[in-house]
This record gives sequence, structure tokens and C-alpha cells, in this order.
Amino acid sequence: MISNVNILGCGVCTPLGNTAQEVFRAVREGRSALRLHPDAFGCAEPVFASLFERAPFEGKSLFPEICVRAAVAAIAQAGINVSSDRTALVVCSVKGEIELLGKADVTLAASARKIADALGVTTPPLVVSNACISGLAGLVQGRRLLLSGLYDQVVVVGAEVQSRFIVSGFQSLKALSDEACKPFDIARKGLNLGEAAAAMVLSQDGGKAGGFQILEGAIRNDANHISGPSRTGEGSFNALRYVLPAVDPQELAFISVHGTSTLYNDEMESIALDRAGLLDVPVCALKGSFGHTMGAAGILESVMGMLALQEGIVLPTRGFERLGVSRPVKVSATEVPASGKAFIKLLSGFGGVNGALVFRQS
Amino acid sequence: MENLINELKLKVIDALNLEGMTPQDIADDAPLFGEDGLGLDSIDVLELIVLLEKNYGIRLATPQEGKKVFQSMAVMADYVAANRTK
Amino acid sequence: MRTVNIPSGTSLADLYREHVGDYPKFFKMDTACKLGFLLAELLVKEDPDRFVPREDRAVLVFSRFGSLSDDRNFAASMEELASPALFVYTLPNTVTGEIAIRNKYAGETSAYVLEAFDPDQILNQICLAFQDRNTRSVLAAWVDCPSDQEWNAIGWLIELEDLLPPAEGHHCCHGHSGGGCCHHHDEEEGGGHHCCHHHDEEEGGGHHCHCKENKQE
Repeated sequence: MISNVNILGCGVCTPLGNTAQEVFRAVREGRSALRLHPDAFGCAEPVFASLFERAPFEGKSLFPEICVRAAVAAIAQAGINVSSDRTALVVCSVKGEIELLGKADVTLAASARKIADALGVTTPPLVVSNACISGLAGLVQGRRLLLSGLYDQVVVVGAEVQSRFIVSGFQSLKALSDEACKPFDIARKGLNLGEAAAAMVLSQDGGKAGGFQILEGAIRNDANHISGPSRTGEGSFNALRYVLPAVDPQELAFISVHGTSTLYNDEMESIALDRAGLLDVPVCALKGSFGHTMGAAGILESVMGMLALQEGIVLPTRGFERLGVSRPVKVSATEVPASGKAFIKLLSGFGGVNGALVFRQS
Repeated sequence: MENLINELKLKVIDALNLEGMTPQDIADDAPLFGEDGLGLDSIDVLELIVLLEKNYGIRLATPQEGKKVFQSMAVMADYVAANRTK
Repeated sequence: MRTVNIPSGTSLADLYREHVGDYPKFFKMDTACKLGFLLAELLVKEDPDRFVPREDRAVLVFSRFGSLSDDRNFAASMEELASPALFVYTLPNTVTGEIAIRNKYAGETSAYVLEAFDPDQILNQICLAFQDRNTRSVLAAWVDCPSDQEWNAIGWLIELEDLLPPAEGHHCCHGHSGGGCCHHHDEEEGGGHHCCHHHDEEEGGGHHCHCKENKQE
């Protein structure tokens, strides 16, 4: 099918591990790098987060470094010529190198240029900064770049690094939990922040049997409120409605949701799933394993989805115990068998954005 | 208390960017939230929580607490008078 | 295609009062959002049914500086007590969000950061947005605010029809065959890539794109 796009390689760089397999195993075993940091970034209150040890990165700027590491792994797996003029680079992040504000050029364009140079990419990088759906939006863009014929392969890398800037911001919104987050749980009280980088190489060529494809993707705005999600899950529902025709319902194994563990987000997603007629599809929420990795989330959580589908399982939703949303969403604290060859990645973000992607194993 | 209510109104107008409003435009007992009120939203509640801490040393832990305190300027002023540490 | 701009240093409050006047949330926005909001206002003010919710108009925002001016304001507030109202705008895509909320655009909204104002890159991205089958028009803006006092703000409203090359034999739009278009096609005829730029010449069914060096299939 000419509108499908193959995933030739993946790479990750996270506090939980530096290969996709390592991280997948950790998630499967219920492990996490989320913990309480009593005085991270000089913030007033302690932060429950999943953060990199800074020492191994001494002398380097963390953001571009983790992007490069994740991208290098994906490029190696894909075996593409990264310096070809037919290779594009898409960099996705919310705040990039913001911790250097006042000391250096913190524009994402400058960071993307550093990453492109380090990778040997010769084409002008495209930067997507679409709040917490940035990684997913980057994959949508990468797919479009291929379908337009402008490029033959695209490296999409999404990442986020935490800082006093971001932590103070979320603290001012009272959106953080001081304990391990609990997606969809009755006792959920906020999100945990996380750091990670994740990358995929996409191409219309080179697809193999058993390999993964992106069949469809869409971004939709709630057109409702600048920071709170629509109470009726408008944008999520519309994004789902757009991508669902690309999937055979019998083949849909699970939905990897945003599941930030805030009161409003998880409730909104349950409503969107209900409206889309998806309540009997198993759901997994991974932010209890990595925290909210913002710009990386769309790609990292999709990579985990791919590995899960390959193993024939739905990953556990760490932190979930008792359902606390108004619709009977099929979340599980333990791993369950998956049946099907496709999954959907769903995400939302500030500014009313929502996105959905369909992945399928051939 | 008159002075405190007026002072609070000025601070609220400034903190929430209520352009063109003066203290005279806000009745002491007028509801601040909802359609009939000033139409303030969830971010405004959070901003008012910051206002209380910054100016009066009062720490409200949750937006739910905030909504009770911010029902009207009069309720807010009473609360500030009773709990201020600055 | 319509285009508008707001010169650097214009009084945005005055512009708001002249063209809007009944949307108090305007004053809570950061400078970039005010600019995007006003550009959109100037572009679509006369549209019939303008506040009827629609999913067929995408909103795209481009900049080099992103939310930098608000980032600085938020960082300054951090010195005393971080302001949630400022934090909420420390994202480039809030510009698209405010436009979407005001105008009830429930379609795609996206934000991109470029190294500099580059009309080719911007046009490319606009074209690619039409690959979403529901998108029939794009409201795009270059909103670049290094500070609250100076900026570059330009807006465009582009309809699908604006991208159709005028020459005979071109088809465009969803699901057709053989034409040059930014939509993906279920079948491809006569080789060649798809591109949304106007074509200076069409060669034997293949397409020549003058904006990028691409190989002919």
C-alpha cells in the first residue's frame, strides 16, 4: 500500500536503559527509574521524576546528546545513508535546551542544527514543537515527507530534558504528584516528569515481513481551552475517528494512551475511547514506567508498543490498581496477552492538541 | 477591611490581566467564577493562589481550596485578614 | 490566498479594540499568541459562518524564536514565585491553540521551528498539511518574537484551490490519479513524485518540481 510507511529502525536513550530491548524488559518486569528527588534543579519542593544521572554527560549538553544517541541506534538498525540528500531529519521537543536560557541560544532550531551536524545529516532539519504530542506529530510529519516524495528516508527523534524551568512550571499548575503516578486510578493525583530520547527511521522502501508500518496518523485540536483538555474528549475522539478506518477492528490489539495520571486527562481519554467505540480494546499507559517524557513520549511509547505487539502482549500499566474514570476502560496492572497485529498510539498536549497514530505489523 | 478589599481588587486586576477594569467594576460580593462572574477559569485560580502566597504569605495547597476562598472579593478579603503572615 | 501582516511595534491592544473588542482573554495571552490571534482575525473576519465549528481548516505556526519572549518572562517570575499564567504560554503551539479556540477550528494544529524565515520550507509544510484528507484550507503564520516589543508577524490563508496548477490535465485533490498533489495517492501513475508546488512544466506524466532537487523516477 503506497500510503504505508515502514519503520526500519528504532533507538532509545532513557534512564531505564539505552536499548529498546533493555527498556522493554524493564517495563515488562515492572521496573522504573521514577523516584523522589529531594532537591532536583534547586526547586522548592521535591520532585518525583525519572531523570538521567548527570555525571556521565559531564561537559555535554544533555538534550542534543541523548537525541544523537537515540538517533544513531535507529540509523544503525535501519542501515540507511544518513548523509544522503534524500534523508530528512525531524527533531521533536517541547523545551529542548531551555535550561541554558540566558546563557546560550536555546532555540530548537539551534539544537536541531547541532544534532544534524553530529549525525551527518545534510538536509535542513525540521523541528516540531507541538507540546506533549511533539514526538507523535514528528512521526506524522515524517510520514508526510515520505509520501510527498521529497525524501526517501526520514529520521524522527523526540526528546525532553527536565529543568528548573519545566518543573517550576508544572509545580505552579499543581499538576505533579509527589508519589509514583497512577494512570486511570481512583487515587491518581498528578503526573511525574521524565527524561528520554527516542528515534525511528521511516521509509517507504526496505519493508520486511514482520516489520512495522505506520498506516495513518492525525492531529486534532479541541478548540476549547488553552491548557485543560476538552471535557468531551473532542480532539482525541476526532483524531481516533480519522485513523480508525485504517485498522481492521479485529486486528486492533491495544491502545497505548496518554494516561498522564491527572484527574482531567485520564477521564477525558476514557470519554474519547467510549465515543470511538473502543472500550473493549485493551489499553496500556506507560507513564508509570518512564514518567511524562513530553517530546519523547510519542516515539518512546510507540517503540514500546511495537515490541509488545511483537511479543504478543499488552504491557502492564504500572501504578494502576483500581479504575477511577467514568468509563469501563480495560486497563491492567499486569501484562495480558494481545491478539492482533495493530495498535494505536494516542496522545494529548497543552494548547488543545491531540494525536493518534496507527501501527501495524506486517 | 475596606482598604484590604480595594487593595485585593487592584492586585487581582493586575495579576489576571483584567484589562480596563477598575475596583469600582467589581462588586464585593459578586461571584468571581462562572458565567455570571468575572468568568475566571482554572488557570486564574492557580494565579490567585500565587498572588496570596506572594503578597500575604498564605499557602493554599490545592485548586479546590482556592475555589472556596475565591468565591468573591469579600470572602477573599476575610480569608486574607484571618490568615495573612505578611 | 490572503495575506496580512502586523508591523513590529504596532499597539496590539489598539488593534484588538479596533477589530475585536469582546474577547477579554486576549489580555491574558503572551505577545506571540496576541499576534497569531490578530493575524487570524484580520484574515477571517469577513468569513461567513465564521464561528461555526469546523475540522477542515488546519492552523500552522512557524517561528525561529518559538515562545522565547514568554520563556524569559516566566523565568523571571521563577525568581520569586513561578506564574502558572505565564508558564501556560511557554510553548510555540499555544499560538495555534488560541486561534483554534477563538475560531472553533477543530482540525489539525501544528507548530514548527525554522532556522530563519524561509518561504520554501513554509510552503512545503503547508502543502504537506493538505495530506490530511479533511483539510481544505490552511491558516498559516510566521510569528517571530524575540521580545515583547519587536516581532515579525505575517499570516496567510490558503485554500486547496490555491495550490492547483492552472494548466490543463492537472487534477488535484483527494484520491485522483496522475496529478501532482500533496495528498498521498492510493495509486501512482507514470512515476514521478507528488509535490504541491506549481509545476512549470509537466513531462510525460512525471512531475518536475522546481523548488527542490529531486530525481525523476
